Amino acid sequence: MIPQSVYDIASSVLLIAGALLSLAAGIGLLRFPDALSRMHAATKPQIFGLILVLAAIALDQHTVGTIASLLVVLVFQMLTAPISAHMIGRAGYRNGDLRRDQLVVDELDEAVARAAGELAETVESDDADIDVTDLPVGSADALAVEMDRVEGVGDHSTADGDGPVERDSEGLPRQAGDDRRGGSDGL
Amino acid sequence: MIVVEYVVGALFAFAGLASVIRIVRGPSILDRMIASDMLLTTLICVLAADMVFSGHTRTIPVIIVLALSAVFGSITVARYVSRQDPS
Repeated sequence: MIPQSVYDIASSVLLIAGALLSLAAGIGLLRFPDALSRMHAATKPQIFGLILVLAAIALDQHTVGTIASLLVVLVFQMLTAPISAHMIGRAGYRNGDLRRDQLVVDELDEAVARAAGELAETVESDDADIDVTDLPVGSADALAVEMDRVEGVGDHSTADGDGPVERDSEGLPRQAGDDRRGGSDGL
Repeated sequence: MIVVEYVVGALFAFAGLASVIRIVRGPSILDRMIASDMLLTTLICVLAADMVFSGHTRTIPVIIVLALSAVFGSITVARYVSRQDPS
């Protein structure tokens, strides 16, 4: 049987290691320049420091019930700490809360630029022929198309040029002075 | 063992103090949120160290609840801060 003093020494070492990790995180929190690098410093003791300190408890009071409870703590912390770090990091990146001159490589920037380019292409190509029946009823896109159509009724000179052909069958008012439309009406 | 208590106490006290300073000074709300997360982690570690030094396990439920509920504050603040529309 291992004497209790060995457990005490081992748990003391683990506690000091965990406390040193917290100290390093505190220094990083004070000294680092932007939110993302501060987060990098602060998330180290969230998992590893906690593992060390919980191992110290498990060595000090080594019963099955205590160790099971500590495992629950560790599992929950390991499940939730990446979520909160991810959310905070994403919010920090989107708000520009980082110093770009200190980045070696920014892979997310390329991805964002590519996505923005694709979005612009999609908007340009789909702008001409949007079918209202494809859009969800009451959505912002459907309302925008509807607004375009209503404005087009009032504006006679430009309403017919850029709209889909179905507008004719909806019984929109036709103008005698519209030469393009007038030619087909006469037949 | 008493020396270890003082050393660990001083280190955790510095970590908590640094967190509080960053909460007070931090230029953006994200810095404050990161620092308050760090303060919560320090609190969990201090409770655990107290259990080791005093030889009891009474605060394990407190630690479980803290580890469970720590995530909500960060997620709420992050969703409040980030812009949803790139405009």
